[in-house]
Amino acid sequence: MKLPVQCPSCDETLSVSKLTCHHCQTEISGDYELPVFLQLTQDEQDFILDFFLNSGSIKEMATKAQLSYPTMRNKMDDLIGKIKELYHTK
Amino acid sequence: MNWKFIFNPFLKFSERQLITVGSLAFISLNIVCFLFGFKMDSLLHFNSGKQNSFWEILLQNSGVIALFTLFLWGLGLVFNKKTRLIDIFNMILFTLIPTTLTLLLMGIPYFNQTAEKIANASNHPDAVSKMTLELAIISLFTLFLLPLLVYTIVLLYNGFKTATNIKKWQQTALFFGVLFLLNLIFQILIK
Repeated sequence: MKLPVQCPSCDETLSVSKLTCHHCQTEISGDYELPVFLQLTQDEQDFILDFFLNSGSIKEMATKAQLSYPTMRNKMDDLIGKIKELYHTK
Repeated sequence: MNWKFIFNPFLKFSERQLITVGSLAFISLNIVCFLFGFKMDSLLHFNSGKQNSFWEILLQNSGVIALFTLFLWGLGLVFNKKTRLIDIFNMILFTLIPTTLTLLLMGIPYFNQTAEKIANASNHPDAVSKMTLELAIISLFTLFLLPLLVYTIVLLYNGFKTATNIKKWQQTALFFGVLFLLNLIFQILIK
């Protein structure tokens, strides 16, 4: 199941207001900002995890995805730009 | 085959695959230049007429390609410090495929003779207006040549965009400005 991160009405970033313990039914309410990683789309999160699981090798990722190295590197750079912007707006 | 990769093969293929195809295109280009008497004086222009030895043609073509690679790599580095020389080199080599096809078409003797005929008659507008068949043939050739030229430009732009990750229209405009300026300067210097 995908975690929604953007409001379908106004496109603003969603925040967490309630957390539940499935073991003892304790509920915690508040207004918690999503961590930067979870503010990314599912594809972007998968991309970062793939990068980590490939030991940080863009070349290996490119080979597995059947794309060229510069394409993968550009994707990485765009994602780095997006994450920097998210940190900046925090 | 995805059409996207026809117009931008640099998205998908590895540098090894691109350099293999590009090298074959380079060899074919030199053979075609030798057979039809062409010589590269810039990336998008060839001069013809004088019959040169294969090594003279190879040397001049290699020099033009090497210098264009360096200049465009320099421009790429201005936009993105991570631009690799191999990506720019592959981009230029790959564009030699439509260039070689263009030269093959232009080298067809009948096309050359017809074009010369029209050029010689150009001082006499009455004579030109009577050359309906010749004008029709040149128009037909142009129908084949124009898409090849457009494809060359598209490959150059897509290759550069992939190598440098440019996104702003100002960067695109600067790329085309530098490309055409380099072509002009090389044509003037290499005469």
